[in-house]
This record gives sequence, C-alpha cells and structure tokens, in this order.
Amino acid sequence: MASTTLNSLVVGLGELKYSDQPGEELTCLGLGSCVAISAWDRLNKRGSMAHVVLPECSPGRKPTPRFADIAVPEMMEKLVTLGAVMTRLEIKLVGGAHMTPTNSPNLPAMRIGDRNIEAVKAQLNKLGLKAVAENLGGNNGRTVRLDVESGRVTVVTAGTETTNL
Amino acid sequence: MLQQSAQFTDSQISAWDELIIEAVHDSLGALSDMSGQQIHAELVKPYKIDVTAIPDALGGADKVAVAVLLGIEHIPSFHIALVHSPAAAFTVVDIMLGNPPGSTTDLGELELSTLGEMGNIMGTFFLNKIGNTTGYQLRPTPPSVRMDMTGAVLDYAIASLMMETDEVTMIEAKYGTNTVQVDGVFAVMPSPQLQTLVMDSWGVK
Repeated sequence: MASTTLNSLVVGLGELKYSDQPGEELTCLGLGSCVAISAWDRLNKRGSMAHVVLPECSPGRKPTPRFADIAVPEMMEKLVTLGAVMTRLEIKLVGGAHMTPTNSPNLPAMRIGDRNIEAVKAQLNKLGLKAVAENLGGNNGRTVRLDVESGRVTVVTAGTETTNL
Repeated sequence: MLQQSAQFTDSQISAWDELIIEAVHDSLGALSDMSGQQIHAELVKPYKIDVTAIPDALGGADKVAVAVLLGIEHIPSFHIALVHSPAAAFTVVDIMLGNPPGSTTDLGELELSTLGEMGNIMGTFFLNKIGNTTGYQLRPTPPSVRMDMTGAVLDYAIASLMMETDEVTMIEAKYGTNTVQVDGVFAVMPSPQLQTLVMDSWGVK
C-alpha cells in the first residue's frame, strides 16, 4: 500500500491542538513521563491531542493544558464546540513512562509519569469517559501520531518499528 | 515554591552569568584532568528559555540522544545535563578512555560508566565553584546515563522545573579537544527560586 505523507502538527510540551483537516496528523514527539491524550470523533473526523506534563495546576499558576486537570476538560469542551460528540470519541492514551533517574534521592515523591496517568484517567472519569486503548508506563520515550482522517494512532519508541494503537 | 518569576537586578544577573561561565570552565578543566587531554569550550552561552522549548534547544524532542543527567541533592529544581548524539557520545568515550577515534561503537557497561563519571566530575566541579564563591553548598546526585529520545530523557527535569517556573536561565557549553569538536551540550538549568537562594547566600544586590 502506498504511504501518504501527512502534514504534522506538532503538539509541544503543554499544548493542546485540534484538527479536522484530511492529510493532517497531530503529533507528540519524545514523550517520557508526559501523557499524550488523543481524541477522535469517527463521524465528523475531528481530532485533538494534548501533551500533558504535570497532573494538576497548583494555586497561583496560570491554568494551561500542560496540567491534566486543565487539558482534559478544555479538550472536551472545544471538541464539542467543534461538533464532536463526547460519547463518540475514541480516546487513546500514550506515555507516562518512568524516566526519572533511579538513583536520585528526590524521586520517590515525584513519580511524575504515574501521577500524570492517574490524573488524566481521573479527569476522563469525571466526564464519564474512558480510553479505548493505551500505551502507558514502562521506561522508554515514545512518539505518538493521530491521523485526523482515519483516526489511526501510531506509537514509536526509539529504535523500534511503528505500531498501531 | 510557586513564585512565577524571581526578579533579579542587573548586577545579580551579570554576577550569576559570570559565575556559571566560570563554573563551566572549571568543569571542563576537570574533564581535561580526567582525560589527560586539553578540553576547551567552543561556546559558553547563558540565555533565558521557556522551559517547554528546552528539548528543541537541545536537538529536538524525538532525536535520539545520550544524556548524562544530574540533579541536586534534596533540591528537585536544578538540573545539569550533558546531551550528545549517539555518535558524539561514542567520540566522548574515545576521548575519555584514550582510544583511537572510532573505537567506540556501542554503549556497554564500561562506556556508560565512563559517561557517568564524566558527568559526576563535571557536575561536582560546577557545583563546587558555585559553593566556594557564594557560600551556598550544593551536592550533585549520582549521575544517570540514558539513551532515548531527547524529550523523553529530559522530561523529568522539565516537569520538575515546570512545577516552579515557566522560564529558566540555561547555559550551554560546546566543547572539544584541539583535534576533535564534540557536538554536545553541557546544559545547566536552575530554577529562579534556587538562583534566589544562591543569590541570598552570596549577598550580591
């Protein structure tokens, strides 16, 4: 099958992006402990991806999608505004690796990857949503892509083949 | 802890920049002693950067890199990273071990240990310079060496910095010997809060 080159919209650290353009893909590059939330409406072919860095927005911080408790509701609200139906969304989660150096004394309290996963799932649960697929944890970096037209989500880790999620 | 941006005077910024440049040179001097070769800095440049832009500044989030990471004991928001492409890391190992160029083609136990020791020495000399100058003593954590996507290996540092700040002053140093330029970066990423503590100890107004 001939492969088509898609136009990549890179979702940087802490960003949240949307697309309904055929030929576009939403991409999170080099995820470690961060979690990528991919959401896609199969009927109107609208997709969104968030690159969550931290579990929650502390008091005094600017509320941005870098935090799971901001990213999830903001993503869903915007998708609904764009015509997506929440119950129709295919939500997939990628990342949340344990990248912290194992020999640091600061680390037991950090567990950023695990906490990001828990926070994203808790926020989805609040909205009655659940991921249909996930590629989470471990201790390797990942790049994830969502093809906005087909809804195909692919994951690649350093030095490995691309796999479908 | 959640203070967004510490305000420094021009003289504090200038003193800090000068201090970390000297500290980087001390680190590279230590590396020369370790390798028995003259290691010199091609570029030492402090600059402000949005925390989210760090992976791109160090080569690109999905580029595979070999990173030596050190933190500071009991302080989660000061990170030192030596970031190289795999090929450059092999070159560094050859330099450190006195091997003919091109000898190292993989990262086994000896090579990882060599890179870790290099990070350990550079981090220790860097922090000693800060401690000796300012009176604020900082001790590095043991080094961690990882080969993976740049964004992934720096994720922990970025996330812990992001808990406190949106922007950091980063210093990059590119280095090499008289015959080999290493395409690597020695990056130092302190949070403004830690800089404030050091400044308070130093007494620079």
